[in-house]
Amino acid sequence: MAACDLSIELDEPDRVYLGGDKVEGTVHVTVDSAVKCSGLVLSTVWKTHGRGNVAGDQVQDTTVFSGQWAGGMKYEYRFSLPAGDWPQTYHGEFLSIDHYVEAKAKIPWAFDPKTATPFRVQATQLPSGHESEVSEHHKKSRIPAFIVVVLVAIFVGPQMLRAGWVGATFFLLVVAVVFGYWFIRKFLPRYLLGTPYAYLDENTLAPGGELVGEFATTTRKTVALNAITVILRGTEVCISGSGSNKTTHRNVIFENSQTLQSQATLQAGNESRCSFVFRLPEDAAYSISLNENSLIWTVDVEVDIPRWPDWSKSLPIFVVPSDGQAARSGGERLEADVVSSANQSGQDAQNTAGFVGGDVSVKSAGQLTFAETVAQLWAVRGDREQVEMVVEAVKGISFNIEADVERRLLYAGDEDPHVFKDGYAVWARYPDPQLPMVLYVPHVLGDEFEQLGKRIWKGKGAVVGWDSLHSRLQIKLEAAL
Amino acid sequence: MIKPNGKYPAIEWLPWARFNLHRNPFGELTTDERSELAVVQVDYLIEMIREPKCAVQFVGECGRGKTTRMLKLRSHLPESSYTYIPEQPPCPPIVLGNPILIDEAQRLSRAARRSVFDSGVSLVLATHKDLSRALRKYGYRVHTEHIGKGNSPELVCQLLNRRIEASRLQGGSIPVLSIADAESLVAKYGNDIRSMENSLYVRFQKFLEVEINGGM
Repeated sequence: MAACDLSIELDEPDRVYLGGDKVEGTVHVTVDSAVKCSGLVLSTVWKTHGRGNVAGDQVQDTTVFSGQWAGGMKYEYRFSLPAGDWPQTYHGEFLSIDHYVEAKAKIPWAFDPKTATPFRVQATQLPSGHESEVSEHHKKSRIPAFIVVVLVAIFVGPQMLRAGWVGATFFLLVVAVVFGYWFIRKFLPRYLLGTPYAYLDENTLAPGGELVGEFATTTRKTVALNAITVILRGTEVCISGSGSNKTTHRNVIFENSQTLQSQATLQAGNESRCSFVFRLPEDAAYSISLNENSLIWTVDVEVDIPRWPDWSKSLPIFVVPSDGQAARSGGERLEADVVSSANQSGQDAQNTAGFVGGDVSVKSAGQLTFAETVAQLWAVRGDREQVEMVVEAVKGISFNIEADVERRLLYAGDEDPHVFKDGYAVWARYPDPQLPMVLYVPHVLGDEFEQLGKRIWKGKGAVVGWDSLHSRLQIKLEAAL
Repeated sequence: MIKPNGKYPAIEWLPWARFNLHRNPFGELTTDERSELAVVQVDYLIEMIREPKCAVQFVGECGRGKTTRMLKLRSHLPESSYTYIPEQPPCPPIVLGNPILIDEAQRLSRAARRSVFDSGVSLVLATHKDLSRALRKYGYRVHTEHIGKGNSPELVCQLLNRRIEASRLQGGSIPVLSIADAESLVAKYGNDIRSMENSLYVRFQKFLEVEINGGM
């Protein structure tokens, strides 16, 4: 039996909290036998649950007690913690998102008892970086087919050709299938429809907003159509597992279809236009992209041509809190500023860089220290695009580094060009904040690292990139002169 | 319907609260949760890999519990390192640890395999392919476990009930999976735990749509 049991009682368990609101309550501790607690830690966190790999983050934590608990006693501690502002609480079929107050008692040499209680959060504004995450997701859905074609062409093709006529035949068959797919799905519909296009007046809307768009085309010859259909769809997309065990789960949460024209005839040479209007549901879930858990909205335009391949186009839309609409259009402008700043800073002299902040604002250029670089990366660590932008801005700059070495890499990876000849790589962290890093150690520093033990290593190194797989800043160390 | 214990306030807005749960128990878990909830004995394996040049390999099909065992071992071995080898190259960096745990070890590139097997450090490998021959060539003593054969109805019942318990909302009653339920799952899915969990996830979501009185 556990030495202590924890339970959390919220003052307002049914309240809907807004970002930054204080979540207040009491944590109850029931102790069976005397136990030392090195920290009773309360935190506000959010987590996804359902069919996708779990995503989550901590908002804030606080230690409300540390010391000795007497056996047979009950204790109570008050807490007040800020609620997160994103993502909003959401309960779907495959994807759910909840915010929790978590309590954990750190007990030396024993399992740490813990408990959690959910509370509801409503998002009132779009956090920075969110729109780029969602648009990234829409882009990703187009990548696999492209990758397959390129891989086949570059790697598999030459090998098959080397394998003689059997391989060549198989390769040509693969090429024929790919070409056939493109010809049937892309070329033929366009050949008949001329220059079909579909667009939306505005692709960022708040729940309840009006979505206006149009399909237009000018055909080469007169074409009879079965129907032109437009479908507004909201879909949960969750990925579970990884590698060969990876499975994508999709669940349509909202679907509204409109037939713009049925049994219509498009006259040759005339431009045909069909406009459409949808109203988003008042309770439409916001667009979300949390690692492998997404909620995406699309408008799918489909032209059903009798005895001919159909034409279709999927247009992404972004459902955001009402305040987020303005923020998004402003965000695009700021993003342009950031790129401009990063490009500028890349050209700056050694040790100097223009910089981007975690709130997508631009800081003034100046002498940049490694501590400042780490602080900036730490601030934007949840936003891959911004992290890469910051890293790009400081790439090649030499810094005075401090690193707490964790582990040596036994094998640095198949395609890591940064490893020194006869050198090796180590995983390390900056002391505070603990930003993960990969240090590429030259052979001459080998002994120094072997004898380092648990001490902090100090020396010079240049930023060479970002390991996105392990979220680590890559630094090539320089031997002291 | 199972009601939460009366001394706790009901959280009406949470769909699973009617079962006194805070989520669907059969959804994806974090690696820490998977490790905590694993019903596997690893003490004898820990003893084994304390010896130098010892390799333990878990061989079995997907969804039988290889990774769960790896995660359980990792939680007991703070000096260990864990690397998952993805299906597509490049092979990722492999961190030195004691022991080194490698998931999907059959996908190690030739260079990575040489680096790892040549290190002499004790290894724990989850693999679809028996690697004992290659390991012995590098001087390892190999212990092989075929995973999945021991997934009896009793074990299935125990581990699925642990998942339900881990999703408990507050004190009081929670749904319980009976041994008869576990037997019918084993009859349908054999030793494939992942398929059982997937099926139960869907069934549990349906329970939310159509309220059913009684247990699961």
